[in-house]
Amino acid sequence: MVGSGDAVGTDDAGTDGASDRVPAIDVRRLTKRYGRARGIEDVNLTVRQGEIFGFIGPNGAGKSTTIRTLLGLIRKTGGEASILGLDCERDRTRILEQVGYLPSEVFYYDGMKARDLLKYAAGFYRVDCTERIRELSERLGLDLDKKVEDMSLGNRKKVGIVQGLMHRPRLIILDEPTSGLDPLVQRAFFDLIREENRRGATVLFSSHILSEVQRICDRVAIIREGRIVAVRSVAEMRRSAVKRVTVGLGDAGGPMSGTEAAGSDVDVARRTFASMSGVRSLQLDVTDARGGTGDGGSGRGNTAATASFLYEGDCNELIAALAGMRLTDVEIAEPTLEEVFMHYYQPESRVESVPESASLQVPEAGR
Amino acid sequence: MTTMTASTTTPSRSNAHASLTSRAMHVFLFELKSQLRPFLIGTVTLLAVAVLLLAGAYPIYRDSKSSVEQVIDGFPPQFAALFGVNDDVFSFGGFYRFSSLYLMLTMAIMACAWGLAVFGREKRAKATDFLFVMPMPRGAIYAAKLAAGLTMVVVASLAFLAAVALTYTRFRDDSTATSIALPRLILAASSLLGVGVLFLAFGALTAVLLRRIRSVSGIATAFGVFGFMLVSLPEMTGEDKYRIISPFTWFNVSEALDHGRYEAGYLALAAVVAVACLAAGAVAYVRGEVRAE
Repeated sequence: MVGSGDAVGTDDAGTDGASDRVPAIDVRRLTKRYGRARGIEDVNLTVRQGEIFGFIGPNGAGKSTTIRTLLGLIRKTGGEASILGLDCERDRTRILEQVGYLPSEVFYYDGMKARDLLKYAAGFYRVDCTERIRELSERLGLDLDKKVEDMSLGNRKKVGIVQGLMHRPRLIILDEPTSGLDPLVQRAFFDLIREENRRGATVLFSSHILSEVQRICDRVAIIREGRIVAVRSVAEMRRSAVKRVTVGLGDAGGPMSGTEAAGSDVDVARRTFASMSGVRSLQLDVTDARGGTGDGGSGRGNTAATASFLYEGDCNELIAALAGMRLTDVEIAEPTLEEVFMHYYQPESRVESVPESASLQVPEAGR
Repeated sequence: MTTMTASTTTPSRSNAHASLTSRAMHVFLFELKSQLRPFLIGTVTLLAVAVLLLAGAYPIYRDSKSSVEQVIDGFPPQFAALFGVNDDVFSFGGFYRFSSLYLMLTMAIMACAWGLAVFGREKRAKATDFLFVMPMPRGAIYAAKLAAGLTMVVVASLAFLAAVALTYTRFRDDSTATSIALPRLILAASSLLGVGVLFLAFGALTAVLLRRIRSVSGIATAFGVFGFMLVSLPEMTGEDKYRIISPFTWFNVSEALDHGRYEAGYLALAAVVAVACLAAGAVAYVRGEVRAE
C-alpha cells in the first residue's frame, strides 16, 4: 500500500485508525526533470494523516524537489500528487491554506521587522494568528521587534518556524528544519512539532541527519538519486532484519600454520559472504603481524582478519554459513540508523578499491 | 476518496471570493506601502522637473530669444534633433513639446523602476518561496501587484497634470500660452500616463523574466535613456517608419496640442504593446518555476 516501485521491503508499520481517511500526502509516479538533468523519477509515497513522516537522503537526492513539486513551486513532469485529497496543481490554493512550510533556507524582505513580516504572512490566512505568533515567539525566544535582515541564520529560522506553524496547519512540511538552530532551540522545536502532531497535524520532515529523524519520526522514506528506495517505520528500521555482523578470523590453533589458516579462512569467508544473498557493505580487514614470541617462540606469524558486513535475510542461512568457518570472534548487533541508511543508500555501482593487505570492501553480494 | 476531510474545511464559493479579494487587497496595500518612499521621490522629481522646465526655464528662453537662437544655430542639426531642440522653443506650446521629451524620460525611468521593484521584490530578496506558499493564486498576486503599479503611475500622472495646469495659469499674459486651450494642454500632458503605463509594463516583464535583478535603477535608466534616444531616430533619418520602434513618439504631443487628439494607430500600438508585455509577464509569473535558492 505504501512505498515505491523501487522500494525495498514493505511497509507494515501498522494502522493507526487513520487508514480509512484520505492520506495527508499521496504521490504516484511523480517525476520532475530539469531538461536532461535528473530531478525525481517515479516517486511513490503515501503519508497518512497524523503521522510524522521522515524523508531522508543526502543532498541532491531529490528531497527538496519532491517538496517543491508538492507545494506547486515547481511543476511536475509527470505523475500525480495530492495533499489531503486535493490535487497539488489544481487545488493549490486550498491546499496551501492547510499547509505550513519551513524551507531549508529562510529568506525574507529586507527592512522589515519580524513582527511586521509575520503580520503580513498572517494576513493571507482566515484565522487570527496574533496570539499564536506571540506564543510561538516566546517559546523560541524570538525578538519580534528586530529587523529580519539583522538576524542570525538561527533567528531567521525561528521566524520561519513561527510562520510555518502560526495558522495551525493540518500538514507541516519541514525541509531541513534544524540547520542553524542551537541544541536548546532544536529541543523546543521538536517539542513544538510533537505538540502539533498530538493536535492532529501531519508532519513531513525532510533531513539528511538520521539522528533527528530517528528522534521524532514514525516512518521514513529513503530517497536516493531521485528515487524512493525504501519506506519503513523507524522502529522497524532499527530492529529490522538488517544486522551488523562482525566476525574474527585467524589462528584458532588448528593443524595448519597460523598464516596459512588465516589466509585460507579469509578466502573462504570472502567467497562465502560474496555468494550469500543479503550481504552488503562487506569489509575484510587483514592484519599480518609477525612476531617471535606470540606462540612460544616458534617464529610463526600471527595473522588475523576481521570481516564486517550488513546482513538482511534468513538468519539460519547466516548461522549455517558462519558454522562452516573457523572464527575467533563473532558479534551480531543492531546496526545504527546511519548504517541502515547506508545499506539502502549505497549506490549499486560503487566499488571501493583498497589495498588487500589493509582492507577489502566487497560490493553488494547476491543482488 | 477526496473529500470528506476536504469538504469540511472548504469555504463556500462566495466566502472564497471574498477571501481572495481581501488577500489581493492585502498584497496591493503591502506593495503600495513598500513602494511609498520610491514613489514619493519619483513623483516629486517629476513635478520638480516639470516646474523647473515650464515655470523656470521657459520664461528665460522666451525672454532671451535672440541669444538662445544664436546658440541653437551653432548646433549641428542631428545634435539638435537628439535633444529635441528647434526654433519652436520660444512659444509655450513649442517649449512644452521640447520639455515633454525630458518629462517622458523622467516618467519612463520612474515607472520602469516601479515595475521592476514591485514585480521583482521577491526575486531580489530571495523571498519568492515565502510569497508563493501563501494561499493565493499567483495570477491574483500578479494582478494585485499590477494594480499597485498602475495606481502609482496614475497618481503620479494626476499630480503631474495638476502641476502643468497650475504652471499654465502663470502665463495668462503670454499669447503663445493662451492660444492653447487648457484641455489640449492637459491632453498633451496625459501622454505621460501612456508612457508610464508602457514602461511599467516593460519593467514588469523584465522583472519576471530576469533570473536576477541586480540594479532596479540601472535597468530602469537604461530603458528610459534607450527610449529617449530612439526619439531622434525618425527625426535624424527623416523616416517616419522608425516611429514604430520609438515608444515616446507613439504619444504625439504636437498632435494633441495642435488638433486635440492622438494618432489612433500609434495609440493602439502602445496599448497592444503594453497589454502584450503585461500578459506575457502574467503567464511567466504564473507558470514560472521557483528553484531553490
